[in-house]
Amino acid sequence: MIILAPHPSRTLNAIGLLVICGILIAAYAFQFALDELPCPLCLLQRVALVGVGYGLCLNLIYGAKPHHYGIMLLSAIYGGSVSIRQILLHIVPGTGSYGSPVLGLHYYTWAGISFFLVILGTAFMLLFEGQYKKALVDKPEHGRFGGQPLAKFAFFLMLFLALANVLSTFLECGPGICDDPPTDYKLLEELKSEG
Amino acid sequence: MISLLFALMTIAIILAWRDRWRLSYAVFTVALVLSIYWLDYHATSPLTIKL
Repeated sequence: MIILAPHPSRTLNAIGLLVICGILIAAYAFQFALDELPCPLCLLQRVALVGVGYGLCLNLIYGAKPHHYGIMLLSAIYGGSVSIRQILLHIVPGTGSYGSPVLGLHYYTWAGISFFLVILGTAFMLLFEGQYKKALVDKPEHGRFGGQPLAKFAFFLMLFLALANVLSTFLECGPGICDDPPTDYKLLEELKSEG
Repeated sequence: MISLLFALMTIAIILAWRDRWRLSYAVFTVALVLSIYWLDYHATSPLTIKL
């Protein structure tokens, strides 16, 4: 049995959640800086990232548990499937691409790499059984998040980004089906045309 | 519709934070199942590869 105490486990999960938040922030940065709207498959990859973030949030709130890592794996496998589907759409030369390349790779390829790394990292974390010892996880005096400010910050940043994605996707797609490919923020355009 | 998926994920996170973990797992499960359905809905373009 490999030992990893609950406290460093929570710190590692918080760092992992910050990395997921960083990917979502980068996606927003490219969306607004380059004025490139995410396609439906791109949005589904973001949903999967939030799903991975949800698993990490559970680890931060309740302490590490194998089924929290299971939730992360399910989300990452789903996200990886969406990424692979989009990579395969454009894998043959001459079949175009979607969005601008970043460091030579398109967003969906970076997403595929990210989901692969999430699966790898989660499998690695599952090796450490010491982190599951409940008695060591949450002492009452620590309060929520094991008393770690980093964990608390990562959690609320994830919550903010999840809410931001609800809003931005609603503005882009409205209550119905997203355009593929999207041309503008559909809800905003509808509101403008009515006004 | 995809905004609904984000909304469900957000609700799952909030429920977990409020210690309603059973409901939180249920909402996450619904979100994941709907996400798979929605991938099937959007993955319509034919692939130009031989599998």
